[in-house]
Parts: sequence; structure tokens; C-alpha cells
Amino acid sequence: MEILEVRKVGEATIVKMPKSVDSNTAGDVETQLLTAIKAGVNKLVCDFTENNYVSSAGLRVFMEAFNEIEEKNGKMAIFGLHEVVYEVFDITGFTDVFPIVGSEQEALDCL
Amino acid sequence: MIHSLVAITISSITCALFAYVAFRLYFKQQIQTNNTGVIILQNKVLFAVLYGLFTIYAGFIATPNGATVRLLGPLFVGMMAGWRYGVLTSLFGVALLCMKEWLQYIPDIQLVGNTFYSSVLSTVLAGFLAGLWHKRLKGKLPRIWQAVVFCVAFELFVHLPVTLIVAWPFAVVWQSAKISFPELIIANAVGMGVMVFVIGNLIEEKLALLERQRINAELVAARVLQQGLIKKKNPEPYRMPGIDLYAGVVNEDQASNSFFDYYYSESGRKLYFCVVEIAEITTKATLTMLVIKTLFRTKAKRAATLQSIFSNIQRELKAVEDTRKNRSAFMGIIDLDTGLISERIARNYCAVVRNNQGDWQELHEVSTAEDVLRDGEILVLASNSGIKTAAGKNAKDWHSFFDNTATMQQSGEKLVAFLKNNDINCCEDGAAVMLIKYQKPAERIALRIELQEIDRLHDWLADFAEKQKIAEKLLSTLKLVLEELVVNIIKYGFGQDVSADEKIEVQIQLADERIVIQIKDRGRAFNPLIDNLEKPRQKRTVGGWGIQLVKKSAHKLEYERQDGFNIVSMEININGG
Repeated sequence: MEILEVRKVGEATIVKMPKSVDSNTAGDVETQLLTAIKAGVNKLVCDFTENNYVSSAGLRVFMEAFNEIEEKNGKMAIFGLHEVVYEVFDITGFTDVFPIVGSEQEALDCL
Repeated sequence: MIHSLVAITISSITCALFAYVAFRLYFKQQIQTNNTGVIILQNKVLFAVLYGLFTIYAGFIATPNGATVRLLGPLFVGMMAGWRYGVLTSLFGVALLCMKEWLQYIPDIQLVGNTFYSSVLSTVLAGFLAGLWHKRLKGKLPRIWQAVVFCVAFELFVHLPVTLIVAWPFAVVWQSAKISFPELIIANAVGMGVMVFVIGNLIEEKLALLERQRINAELVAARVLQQGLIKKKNPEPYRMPGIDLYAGVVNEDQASNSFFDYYYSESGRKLYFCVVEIAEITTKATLTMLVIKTLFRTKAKRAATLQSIFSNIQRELKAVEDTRKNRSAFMGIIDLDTGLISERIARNYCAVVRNNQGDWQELHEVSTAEDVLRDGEILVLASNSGIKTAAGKNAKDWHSFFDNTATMQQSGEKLVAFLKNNDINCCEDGAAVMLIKYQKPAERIALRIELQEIDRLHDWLADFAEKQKIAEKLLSTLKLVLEELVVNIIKYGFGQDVSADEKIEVQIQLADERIVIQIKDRGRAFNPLIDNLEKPRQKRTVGGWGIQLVKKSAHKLEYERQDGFNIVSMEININGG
């Protein structure tokens, strides 16, 4: 399992997404995000700057995480989407669900 | 007078017949010649003796006025073989005169005056002077008028003066000569003219035969050369993924100097091809062909620039241009990555391409090399303009040789058979045809029924994209679309206890401006376009994201169940949309 890089910036937790969130890696990402949320993280920022591929399996993970964090009245933001990945979020309507922004600072400001 | 003319005619015809029969039976084989037209008779002694015997015979068929064509033999032999042989023949004439003079062997002829010595001298001079003329002719056969003029001149300026001076008594001889010399002149001139005509024809016939033999010998040599160095007449169809190629020569029964060749570049990404016809069936032409072929092959390997190879070949073609009118050549390089002809030369060629709309277009109408051949198009090269006439002036007529399902082998054989069965000028000297159908190869992968295979699928797509120079963005789309469809199949098409042999076959192909994808599996019937098996797990989940992404990216998307297979076919436009 690829361990995701996690940083704390104030109250927020920033998790760096892997290069690809596909059917194979989605499980690992899901486990780590949900574990973090269960452990009390309620301001989550997903850093996509190094990611360039997300399939529907990946989308499902973020939806799971989002639902989970909402239940805890937490917040979640996404930044640094690659053009292609943004399209994937856009086509599936995910851009209406998450705050999707350009930079880390903007993401932190959303929370 | 009429009686005399008949006698002269008989003499002349006899001369001609004699000459004809003698040459036909024997001397024709004896004629040797080189290209300068010099006649070299072998066995000249026999030739002189035969004409000597003829001279004796001629002495017996004199006209009532005593004119004979006995001088024809020495004149003719001298002219054909030189003064020594002319004089040898003359000696037979002298023998004839001796028979007359001493033996009185020819009682019919009324001898007028004492002409023995004058006749002997004239006879010897005939052979000798004709021999001198032979030398002046340098061994060539004179024209008919030259021979006639020579004979007349001999009679007037040699025979007649000699007779008048040497024979006696003058008054009697002069009376007799006034009557007999016109006949003599006519008889000898006609006889000589006829003989030169007959022999000239025979010699021409012989020269034609020798030329034929030479050409045949060259043909044999050329055929050996060709068979040794050129591809066999019915080549194996060219089998390279994405290229369906047929090449053949129309008339393979002779070394026609029509040839084709093709080979890959060292990288294997380029196809070099040529179709050439040099309409000359000589060794020179064959050698030219071999030079072209060698240039075509070796220069490229020495990494000379293609332009230099082509200009060398152009030069070679130009070298044979002077002698013959028909040479055709088409050479080019097909880039196997793009399907375009990157470089080409063409001379008097006949070539057509089929464009994307299925229309046939003549190659010379295409403005730039880049426009020539696109994926999946057919290129036909035919190295003889006669083929164009035969197969139709209009490029559209080429439709009859092709249908979409035929391989190039089938179409090519059809075309060649048509050309052979229709007596068309292109078949005389042969012609080469080459048909190339270009299509990007389809790439395939078989995936096991497990999610880990997605990694392999992605790597495989990345390789494909790199090879086909596909942009990164499009690669992401391909990865996404295939992942969604394959994951669907893995999740819903098969149960838990799936056999290890079970595979999902994915095929991808670059064609024109699109990427054609096919996914095939033997799972249970499942149409991913309709059957939505993703159950919303959360209130906000609309589900079906995967298929949503696929539908959005695909230009064309179809599902069918066939022979127990689920087949999803899809096309994605390279330029988006």
C-alpha cells in the first residue's frame, strides 16, 4: 500500500493524492482517508498537484470521504486538479459537490 | 529483238535464281557480319568456283546476237569477295572461251571476228576491277543502283573499248558490237541489280536472324540475372501488420525488365518500394535495371540521403531515355507510423490511390506527397502507361479490380490476369504492378479477470500512445474509458469462481483520425450502456459515473452479443469531440 503524504496546516489536514487514483489504488486511498476521518480529521484538503488520473473508482472514494466528513460536520476541499482530471469531476457533476480550487491557500480558506 | 529480250530475261532470272538458291542453301550460313554491315563470306573459294561454273553455264545461253551474261559471275564474285576470287571466277570464264575457241564446243554461237583475246582480257578485268570496287566498298554490299551503274560503266568503258581495240577486224567487230552491246549492258545490269537485290534481302534476313539470336541470348542472360537478383514472379504476399501488399509483373515469361522491390528501413518503421519498367529487352536495359535496384538497396543501407538515392536513380533512368521511349518508375517511402508517403519519385508512371471517401484518385493529381496515402487507403502503382489504358483512363474504373473485402493479393491477381487476357500493349514488354493497402496495425491485449490487470492495461496503453505519438490528454481518456469498461466486466460479467483461462480481449487501432477500440469477453450477457448495476450507496450518489465518462468520451459506442461474446465497440476522435 502506498502511504499518502499527510501534513497539518493549522486545523486542516492536507493529504497528497497519488499519481493515479484508479480501480487498483482507489482502495488504498479510501482506507487512508476514511481512517483519518475516523481518527478525527474534519477539515480535509486533498492535494491533487501530483495526480493526473482519476477514474470512477477514484470518484467513489472522494464521494465516500465527503459523505463521511459531512456526517461529522466537517469540511473538505480539493485543489490542484489536472485539466484532464478536472474534466472527469466536471462530467460526473462532482464539481458541484466539492469546493474545487486552484491553490492550497484557497482550499484552506474554504474550510 | 523480242527474242533477244526473252533471252536476256532468262539470263537475268537465271542469275537471280542461282544467287538465291546458292545463298539460301549454303552461303547464308556463311555470312558473318558485325554491326558495321561488313559482309564476311567464309569459304570464298567455293563461292568463286560455284560462280565460275555458273559463268560457264551462262556462256551457253547466249542471245542470237551472241550476248551472254558470262561476265556477271566474275563481276559479282569480285564485288562480294575481292579481286583474287573475282579473278578465280574469271578463269572459269576464260575456260569457257577456250572451249569455244579451240574445241568449238559451243557450235550454236556465231563467232563474229576474232574476239578470243579481247574476251579473255575483258573477263579477267571483270573479276579484277569488281574486286577493286569491293575494296572501295570496304566489304559492304552496294546499293542496287550502284551495282547497275558499275555494270553499265564496266561494259561501256572497259568491255567495249577492250573489244574494239583488241579484237579484229575492227569493222566486223564494230558492226557486231553495235547490236550485241546494248543487250550485254542490259543483261548484265539487270542481272547484277537482281542479284544485289536478292542477296541484300537474304543478308537482311540473316542479319535479322542474327539480331534475334543475339536478343534471345541476351534474354536468357537477362532472365538468369533477373531470376537471380529480382524477386520471384509470384511473391509471397507482403505480411507486415498494417500493410497488405501485392506485387507482380504482368508478363513473367520473358525478362521484360519490369520489376518491383520493397524492403523495410532498419528501424522497421518505413517501407521502401519501387516499381520500374524499362521497355527494352537487352542486356543493357537489364544492367540498368540492376543498377537501379542496387542503388535502391545499398545506398539506403549506407545511410545516404534518400534524395541522393533518388537522384542517382533518376540519372540511371535518364541514361536509357535516349534509346527508348517507355520507362516508368515509381519509388517512394511509406512511413509506417503515419501511413504517408514521405518521399517519392515518379516518371511516366500510372498510379492511383483510393482516398477516404472510397474514390480513386490519380496520383499525379495529388499536390503534395503528404496528401498521398492515409491510413487504410490503397495505393496502386503500375509501371506502364499501357496498364492505364487497359484498366481504364478514368481512375474510377479501378473500382472493378477491388472490393473492400479483397486482399491485395486477390485484387492484384485479378488485375494481372485482366492485363494478360486482354491483348494490350503493356503486356508485350511486360509491366510491374504493386498494390499497397495501408492500415495501422491493431494492438491487442488479453486481460485476466482481476482488478490488478488494470495496471497492465494502463501500461499497455501508455506504450501504444508512445508508439503512435498520441497526446497525453488522449492517453488519459483512453485509460479512463478502457478502465471503466473493463472494470465493469470484471465486477459484473463474471462470478467469483472465474476460470484462470478466462480473458477480456482488448483491441485498439489507430485509423484515420480516430481510435477504434473493441472489448470482447465471454462473461454473461451484459450491456454496459444500459444495465446499470451500480447501486447508489449514499443519498448523494447518482452512480453510473463510469459509463457516464465513457459515453462522454466516445464518438461512437456500440454493444452487441455475438456467439457468446459481449462485444463493445467504440471510436474516439483523436481531435476530441
